[in-house]
Amino acid sequence: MRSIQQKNAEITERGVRVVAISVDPVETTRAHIEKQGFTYTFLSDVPMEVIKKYDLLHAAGFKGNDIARPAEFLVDPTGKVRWANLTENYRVRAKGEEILKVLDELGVKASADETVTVER
Amino acid sequence: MALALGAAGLRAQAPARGQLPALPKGAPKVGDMAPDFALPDTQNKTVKLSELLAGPAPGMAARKGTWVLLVFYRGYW
Repeated sequence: MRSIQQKNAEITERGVRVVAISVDPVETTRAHIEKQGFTYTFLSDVPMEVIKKYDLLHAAGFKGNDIARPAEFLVDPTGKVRWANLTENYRVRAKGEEILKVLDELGVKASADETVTVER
Repeated sequence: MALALGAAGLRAQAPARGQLPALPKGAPKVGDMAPDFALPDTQNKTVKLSELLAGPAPGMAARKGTWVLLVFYRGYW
């Protein structure tokens, strides 16, 4: 989460909005992100409807409580998943740097670079 | 010796720290449509994925449509 925050300006420059989702209630999340200085969007899925819809439920994953398993998806403006990153170990996560690399590979550039031809 | 082997065996079977259950089969894959959803943000405002995607990109008013990076995290902060 922190490494994505550190690259959030660069990610946003490319027209990408970062949206984080967990089981934490709205108030808990608000307090935490204010304290941590996170500025992207955080959504609260207490009933785990979306987490289940994405098949990311980690039953009893934290002290007997159901939580989301970590995962990242890059969705294009048509709603199509263009990159998905699921991990088998929650200590191994996509870092902000990796997200930027993926955006490079997909040709998602900042507006100033839009005239640059991408060689494939 | 038997005891040492036993202990090693137990260690080998113990899951690595942070190990998660097997990868889920139903999670969206590259090329799939991301299931739409609506959830409250930290201001209790409902945010809908399809509306974010259709809206103007942050910091790029000229570009039509927004990419979204969805980050599911464990929580319990």
